[in-house]
Amino acid sequence: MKKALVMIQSGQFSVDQQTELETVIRTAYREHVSPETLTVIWSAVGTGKFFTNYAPSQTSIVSAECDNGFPQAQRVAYLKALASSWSSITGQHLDSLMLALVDTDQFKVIADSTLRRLSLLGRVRFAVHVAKNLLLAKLRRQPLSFSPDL
Amino acid sequence: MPVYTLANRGASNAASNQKIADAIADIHCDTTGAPPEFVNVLFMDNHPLKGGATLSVTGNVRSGGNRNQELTNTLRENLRNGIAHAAGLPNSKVTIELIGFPASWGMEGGEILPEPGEEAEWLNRS
Repeated sequence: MKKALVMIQSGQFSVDQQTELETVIRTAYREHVSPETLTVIWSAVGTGKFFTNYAPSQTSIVSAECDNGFPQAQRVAYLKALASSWSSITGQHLDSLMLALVDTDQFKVIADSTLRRLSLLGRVRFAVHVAKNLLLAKLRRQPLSFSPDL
Repeated sequence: MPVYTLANRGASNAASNQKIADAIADIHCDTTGAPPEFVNVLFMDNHPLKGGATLSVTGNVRSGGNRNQELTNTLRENLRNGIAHAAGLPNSKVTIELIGFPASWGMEGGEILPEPGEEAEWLNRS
């Protein structure tokens, strides 16, 4: 099962928008990358904690994993399709949207970077924090989402 | 791109975060020649860090182009010094990990990112 990680500002989008965005992420992925199930995990960053170009950021970041050695033409097609669909839903300028489709080995290095810097206790706390929030999201039938703060 | 994520052992505040984010943008741009429009910095609080670190920085940066090992080492050292200074911490309390990946895997502004060193042409595209 492949994963997509989405980083947004807290309160930037409604739950309905997130649900719609999740649909377009999966659709673009299925059409251009793989029929494999894609798990989408959202992380909402609080006010005063995200900066771009020296100023508070309005940027959203969507990174997904693909097979190693994935063809570049298909990668570009996926990224362009997602950029177009995302901006039509959110009205966001494309300059405020960062997308990446990352080979799975490198995706794991990036995704695990948070765990690598934590103490053993920190890793346990992080795992519980993520599991609790993901469980709550499932129970509420909402997008899987958690705060990056512990 | 780059995206710098900073895990803080305690709680951060917006003013301090702005100061550190400014330092990172200055250092990244001065060292690599990348434009500040590319530089993203985000903060995460209350992370129990290993090794007694107070602030742990992970930088996801473009690799290839004009970025050789020497430049990467210089960037890492400049970031450690600059972030520690901005945060009022000893250098030993700040850890840095830089993770490189090909520019061609990412998109901003609806276009595939330029190779490091080719940003000016990319920014001036019509």
